[in-house]
Amino acid sequence: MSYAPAQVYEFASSEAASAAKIAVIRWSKACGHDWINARADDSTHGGARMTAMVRVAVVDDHELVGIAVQNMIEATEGLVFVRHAATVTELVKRMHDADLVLLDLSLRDGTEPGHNVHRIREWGANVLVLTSGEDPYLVRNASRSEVLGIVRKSTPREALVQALLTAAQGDLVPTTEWASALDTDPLLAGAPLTAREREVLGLYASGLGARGVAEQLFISENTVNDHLRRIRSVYHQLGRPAATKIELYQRSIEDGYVQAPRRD
Amino acid sequence: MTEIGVGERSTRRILVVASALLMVIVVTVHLAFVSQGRQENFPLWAESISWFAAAVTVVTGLVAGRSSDFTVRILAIIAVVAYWATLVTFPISVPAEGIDRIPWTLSATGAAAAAALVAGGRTVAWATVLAGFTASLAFRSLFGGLDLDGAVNDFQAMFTGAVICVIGDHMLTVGRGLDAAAATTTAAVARESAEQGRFAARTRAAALVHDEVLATLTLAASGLPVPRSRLAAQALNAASMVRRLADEQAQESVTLSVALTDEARQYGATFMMRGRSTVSSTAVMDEALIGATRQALRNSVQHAPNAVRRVVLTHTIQEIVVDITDDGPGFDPTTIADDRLGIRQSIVGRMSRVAGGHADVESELGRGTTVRLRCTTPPARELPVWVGRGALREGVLVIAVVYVITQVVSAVLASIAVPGSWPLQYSMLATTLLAGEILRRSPQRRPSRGRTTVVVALVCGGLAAGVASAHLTYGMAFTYGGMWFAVAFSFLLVALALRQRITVALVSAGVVIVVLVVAGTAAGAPIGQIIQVTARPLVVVGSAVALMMVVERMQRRIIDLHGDALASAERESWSIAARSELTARVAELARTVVPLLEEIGAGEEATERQRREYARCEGELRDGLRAGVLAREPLTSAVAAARARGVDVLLLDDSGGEIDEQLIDPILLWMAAATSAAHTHVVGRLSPPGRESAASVTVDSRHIQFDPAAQLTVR
Repeated sequence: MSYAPAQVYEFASSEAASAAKIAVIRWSKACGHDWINARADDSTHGGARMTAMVRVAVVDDHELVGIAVQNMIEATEGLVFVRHAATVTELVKRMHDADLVLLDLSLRDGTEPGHNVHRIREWGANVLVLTSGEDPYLVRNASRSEVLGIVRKSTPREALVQALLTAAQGDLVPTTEWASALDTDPLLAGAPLTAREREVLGLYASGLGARGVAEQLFISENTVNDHLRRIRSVYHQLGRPAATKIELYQRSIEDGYVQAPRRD
Repeated sequence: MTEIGVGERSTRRILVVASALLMVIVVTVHLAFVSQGRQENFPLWAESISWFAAAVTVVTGLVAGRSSDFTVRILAIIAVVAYWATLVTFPISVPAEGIDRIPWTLSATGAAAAAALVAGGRTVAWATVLAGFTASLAFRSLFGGLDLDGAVNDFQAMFTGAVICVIGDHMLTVGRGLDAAAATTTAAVARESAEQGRFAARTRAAALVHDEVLATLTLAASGLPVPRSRLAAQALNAASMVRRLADEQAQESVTLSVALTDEARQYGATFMMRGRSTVSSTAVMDEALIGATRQALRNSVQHAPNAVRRVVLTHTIQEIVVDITDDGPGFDPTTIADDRLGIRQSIVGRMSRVAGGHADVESELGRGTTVRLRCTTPPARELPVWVGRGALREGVLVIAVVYVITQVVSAVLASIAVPGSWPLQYSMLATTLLAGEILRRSPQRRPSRGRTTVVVALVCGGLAAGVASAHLTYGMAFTYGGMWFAVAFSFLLVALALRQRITVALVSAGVVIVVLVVAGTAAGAPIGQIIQVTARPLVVVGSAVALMMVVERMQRRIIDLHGDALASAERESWSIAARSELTARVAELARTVVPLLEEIGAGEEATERQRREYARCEGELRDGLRAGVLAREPLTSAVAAARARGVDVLLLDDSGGEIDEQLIDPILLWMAAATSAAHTHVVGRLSPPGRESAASVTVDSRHIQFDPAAQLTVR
């Protein structure tokens, strides 16, 4: 893990959650799961832990998607499928049993992606968001929360598996859709990003991967990833919760979905 | 007569009611005179004009609440004209023996000023006040009656009129300002709401696409091992959901974009919408646009049967533009014969018959044809808000100056009329000016308790000392002129009332009245005389308090009314915008995906070709959300072909609608060429505004930026 000090505080739990498979038990306790519960946990998923597997759960209101993702996870080394839940409430109702949750961007129960991510993070797992269509509003909403990345379901299978493995390591999964949603967010225009960071984001949004961006800018891939982490951190700072209708309205003005009333 | 808003209407009604009340008081005072047997022998016709003016003024006030703006204004005009008639006809009505007093109606300057504000606005009101004042003084000089009472009365009446002009004018401005503010807010909220409606519709359509269709297509395309029967069931469910929604939407009323979508489809043209859809187009406009579009498409099909046709609806804040384009053989527009009914009548003629409508036909041999239909949408009513602030400050300054002048003149006249009384008159003048200055210097609009106490003490104490001294020291008679300072003090109470010290002003006014009645009784003045002296203080303070209270109530009511208007405007524009957006989307969805969903629903093992077809369709649906202007030919065909080859294509329009129209076609061509050469992966993107390049494409990890000079830059 190479988080800069500024992010250590912010992603403390995230880091612990995913860093090393060995750290899972220690981290579970830190998250309030006592050893009695851990025992019950062990009885069902102990095997996964022993073999240092990353446990993956899916939240999607389509059972078929759950089945498809389960098949994919089971065919991937290092990952173990835990369970499929139709809603976040259903997921977090049970004891914490997953290290990574694949969350559907728009659930039919009308819950907000950002709120869903927050609940899963509190429950104690990392989140990778899966989308069908790329509605930038929902993508931004999720991006402002602590997600590792936002991945399109129709991404070719190899790329999807690669994204899962990266997320299983607790690393960011920057995608074109994610970068595009950020790059066009009017709120980010006023954010403290350097010119280079903006350049990296713009290239990412144009469809290049970390290697492509590195080649374009004559920098190392690590530097690109550092930039991305900082962009994500800055963006996350913007993800304040909107408690009232007025705040939601202000937020939608910022997001460019609602035009601000003019005084002319 | 232009339409006026709720705020202005209420203010006008209050002003005519105030005018009526003032007239009632003037009539009462006049009757008190009559009861003293002091009546002039004016001819009947002159008396009739006076009584007519009074009657119309009172009637206007009585019927204001139940009459239209037009009626109220006409009645006010009649009342003002009648008042002017008494002024103008007075010289010829004067009896040969001369007069003792000028007619009572001339004292009704305040009433006339209030009516004049409604009848003709500020200028007419000020003209009426000045005319009344000048006429009174002139008539007194010419025909008799220029004594202390008369002069002081004229000055105080003029001041009352001035106060009414300023306050009334301010009230009208506030009313208009509130109306304008509400109109602006309504327009803003409607725009906001329309936008939210579009967003909500997009979200709903997106949710639908996601939940059933995209999930199904993605799974069908991916070849992931899922139970085939379950996938088939989901596909059929998705297809029936789309169909049901499309049927429900078809029942809804037709809006412009939906109607144009329909027209375009009937003639095999693609349809696209740009800009924010607003609710400002009228039914007449919509009808003309739809009819002209239909005719343009019909012409295009007739003369260029093999051309690619496109209909683009663009909303801007001022305009609705529909472009109907084809890439057919074109023609020379200068050679269209007048008998070409299609273009002359059905397109250009139809558009020019609509207010703000216009049509242009551009064509060139070999370059295709573009018909552009334009409608200027009615602008939102946006008036300057709070223009009255500066006017009020000027008005208050005028009042202050007029106050100082009238009181100084009254004091001088009184000291001349009662020789030797100057110490009393000037100390009264000094006390009123001091109290006025103390009030003027209040840092807040509502003066502090201490400041208020000092002013009240000066007013009541000054008045008590003044009347006592006048009676005991100088033995002055209890007359209107001799008691000029009673009115001067009362005006200070008016200022207190206007500065939100209403109760204090009322109580102090009560004290003033008691002091005057006691003094009058002690001086042995007749009851009519006492009424005459106490009337004006009572009137000025009473009307100021009443105005303040009514204005506050009026403003609360206006806010409520505006709230209702806002809420309904919001609901309306929300539903219209949401419906049209949703209908357009659902119709598109039903046309494109239902056949594929039914194929998946058959439950057969998909071939590789079918999988790619599902992937292509899934990609197109995604493009509907994010590709924006990139979802156009020739790029769409190139993308469809690439997807059919198994290439993963992502189109992103991040331009926020701010891309140069001229650039779109070259970009589409350029991107289509790049996409055709792709093997695995394509991301085509329109850059956000202000970037180095307007567009970029990444083909198989090779990044290319668009160069408008058509020089492709490979970086």
